[in-house]
Amino acid sequence: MSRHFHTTALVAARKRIPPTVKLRPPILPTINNITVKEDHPLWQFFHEKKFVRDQSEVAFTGRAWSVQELRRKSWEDLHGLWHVCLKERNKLEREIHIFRQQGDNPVGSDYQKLNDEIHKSMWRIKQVLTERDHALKNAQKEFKVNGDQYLQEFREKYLTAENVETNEWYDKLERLQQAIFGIPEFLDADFKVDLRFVQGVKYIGQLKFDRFAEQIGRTDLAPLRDVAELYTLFEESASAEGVAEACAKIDEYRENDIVIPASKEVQVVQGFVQEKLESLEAE
Amino acid sequence: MATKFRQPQWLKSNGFAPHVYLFRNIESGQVMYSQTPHITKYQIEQQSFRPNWENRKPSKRRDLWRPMAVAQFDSHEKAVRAYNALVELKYMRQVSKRKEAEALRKRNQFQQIWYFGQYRPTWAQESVSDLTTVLDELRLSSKIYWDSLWRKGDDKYWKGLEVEHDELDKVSPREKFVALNEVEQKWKEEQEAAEAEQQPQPAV
Repeated sequence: MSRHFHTTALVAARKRIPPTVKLRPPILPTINNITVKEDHPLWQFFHEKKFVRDQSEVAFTGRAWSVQELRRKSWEDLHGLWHVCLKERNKLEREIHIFRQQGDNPVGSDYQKLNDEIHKSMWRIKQVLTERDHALKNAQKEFKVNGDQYLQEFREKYLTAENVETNEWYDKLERLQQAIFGIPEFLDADFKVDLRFVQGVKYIGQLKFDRFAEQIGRTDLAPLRDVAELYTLFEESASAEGVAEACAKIDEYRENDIVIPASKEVQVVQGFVQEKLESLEAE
Repeated sequence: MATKFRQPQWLKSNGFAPHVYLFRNIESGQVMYSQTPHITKYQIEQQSFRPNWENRKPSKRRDLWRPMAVAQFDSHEKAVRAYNALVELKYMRQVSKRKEAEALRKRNQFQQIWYFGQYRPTWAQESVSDLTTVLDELRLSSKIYWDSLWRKGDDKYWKGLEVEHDELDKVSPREKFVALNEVEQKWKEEQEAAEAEQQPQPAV
């Protein structure tokens, strides 16, 4: 029996941890408790989810892409190739970093050699892109001097060509639009029309009309009066049917005697582009 | 809130969950226990028994303290008992059973506690080990939310204990208290649901 009247302290003592308890050793953290998602983005830094590859796995017999080969590739191809190279180098750099941390010298190893080869491909891609950029800049500079002459030559070729309703000529027209007048193949929702765009619309519209008007017997429409008519032609496909359709629309348009003054051209074309985009969106 | 020892009744009436919070100092690796989801000068003063050059009294800079684990118990009384036991175990490690504790620590080549910079991983590992001791000795059941399950260590240390492990939401350090509040909120919701179940349904 207890010789004391108080009980709280005894109860509290029973609830406390005994002073004789044996201390346990520190518990080390372990990665076994962690599961990583299969599609974790950082897996891209690992080759087949391996910490480090074997020497035999990185042994290679290939070579870097040459500049000549890369010159023949399109922008999309080069972009894709750059991405592939970059990812592979990320893996290799990670592995090389681990070797370095462990005190091994990775210089001269297969990891380093493969890395260098891929690096070579990458600077060559840059070289090719730089060449293309210089070519574009030179062409733009030259175009300022004798651009009119070039457009005139193109016009003559287009008008005298035997058949222009071919993919080759469609491509040529598209490239001309893009390179000289900055008219992209697909317009963004916030596209801003400028003077260069309007000039392109006029040039292409007139070109199509001159080429096909006689063929479809609509020379009566010449001369085209304003940018609205030229835009109608520009919008239609570069074929006899397309131009015929455009001519029908022009007939309708001419029923009211509105002529758009030169000062309003940009504004009007912007309106047309907006309308077009909205109708496409609605579809 | 966390500026003095709190009795179970106080915690209950002020809406705190029956939790014990383990905060880790990311600079030194030291761990402090708290009854509320805060860390203040009080915990640091109270739990630094014998500061020395290896186990300095940590600063109370709030950006250095990150939640390491939240142990949830069945009642506030049990949570307070566990908190007391953890603090006592810390006292044993630092004062009364110092030699025993020192013998368990990893050493470097100069026979000092292993460190990198100012960081000594042993403090956090010891507090995890103390948590298992508390659950085992006091026969408590618990649910532990870890900031990373990595810290929990091998499953063999938790064998035979009535314990459930979960992970805290991974948030940026700035939102660490939001994650703690969410755990508390979760407990409250569970509590309300349990109470609603217990209440007799009104006769129709």
